[in-house]
Amino acid sequence: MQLIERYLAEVGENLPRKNRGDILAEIRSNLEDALESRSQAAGREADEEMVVDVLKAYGKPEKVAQGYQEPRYLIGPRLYPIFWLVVRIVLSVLVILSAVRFGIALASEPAVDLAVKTIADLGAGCLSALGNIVFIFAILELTLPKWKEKDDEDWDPRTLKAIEIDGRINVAGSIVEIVLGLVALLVFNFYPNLLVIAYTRDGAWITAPLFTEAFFRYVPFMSIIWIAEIIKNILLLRQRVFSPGLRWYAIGVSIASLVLIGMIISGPAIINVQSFNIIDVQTMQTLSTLMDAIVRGALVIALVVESIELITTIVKMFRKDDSPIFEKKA
Amino acid sequence: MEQDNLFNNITLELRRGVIVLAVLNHLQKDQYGYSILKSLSEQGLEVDQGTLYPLLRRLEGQGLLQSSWRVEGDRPRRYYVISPTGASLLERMKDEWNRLVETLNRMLSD
Repeated sequence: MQLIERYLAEVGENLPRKNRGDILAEIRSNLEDALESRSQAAGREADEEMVVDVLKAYGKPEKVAQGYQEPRYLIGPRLYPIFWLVVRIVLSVLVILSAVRFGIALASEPAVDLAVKTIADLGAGCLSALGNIVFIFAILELTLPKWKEKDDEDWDPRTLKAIEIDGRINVAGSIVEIVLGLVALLVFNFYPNLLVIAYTRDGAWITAPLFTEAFFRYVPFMSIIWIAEIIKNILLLRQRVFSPGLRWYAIGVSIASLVLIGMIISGPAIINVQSFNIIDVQTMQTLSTLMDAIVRGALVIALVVESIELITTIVKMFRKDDSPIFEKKA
Repeated sequence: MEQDNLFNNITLELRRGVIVLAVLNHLQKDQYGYSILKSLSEQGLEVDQGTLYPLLRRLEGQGLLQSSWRVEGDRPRRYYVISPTGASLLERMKDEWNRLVETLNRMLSD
């Protein structure tokens, strides 16, 4: 009988406090009835072997206790799809931010050390973000009232939201991007002498380079990105839709652009203020500071716009209705 | 072996659906847990103890059964019996069951 007490104690440990005593009393009663039945069938007093058989037939304590409880979730089925979407978006944003930070810091730190530090920081950041998201959703799971499903009769199929075919492309936009990319490639690589400031002095036209030497050190990287963008747009025009592979490619190009913009922002001046050789030294210094602020401000705006586009692309990728099957239909 | 497991799981699901009907029908006279298990088994419906006993409490929570403790000899036992709500529901469930059996028999004989 000692075994029954031990069994009940273990079942009790896994039962909710509410009704625990009542449930245990009922289980005890059921066990004693089962034992009595076995004893009568065997024609002898109940012994330990019979108790063991009865308990085995009744089931493992955890499983028995489980039967008396509603399923419990840290994050249940109703919140899980939103949770998973949030996790993917937040982790993607963290990866992008790390890449940008890596690009900015590359100008001042050794690449290998910086890469190790970035990966370590990213790992710690992802774990921390994941922990916080799980914590928030677990609280929501506990506190949100169980929502009542609307009756089927109240549901009207006409209320279904319209389908946005995100995979479809803007043909004109792609063509414009290809042309601009080619022009930029040509001008910056083969005709840099066109990028000048021209002004008149004493009736004569004078030209001076618009960009500094520091700027031209970025041109090879910029060219790679322009070529990558041109390839992306050509593929888009051929496929007419964003396939998952092409979307990943576009994400890679966007991240590379973000890194480059970050490097330019954190690097030396790119506008050659000496070109404005028409005014006194003090005005020139003011102009220099102003131009630098304008250029860096414009780059920061470019960084933000590119980041938003990247996040939008990632969100679209993770949306269920953006699956390859759906895109084929489009 | 895998097919056996699949068969067992599907059969278990199938049985689960009818246990409520069997239990409600059986408890038109009051009975305690172990006696319900035994008599269902004697009538050919084997029900797992881990399924039956929590189910009795759930049905009571839903107002379909009523229960009371009684001491017989030196042993307390919890007796269950169908409630008026449960009885009314049982009639509807029986009709539904008969329709279902008729439909499935027709489908399976095609």
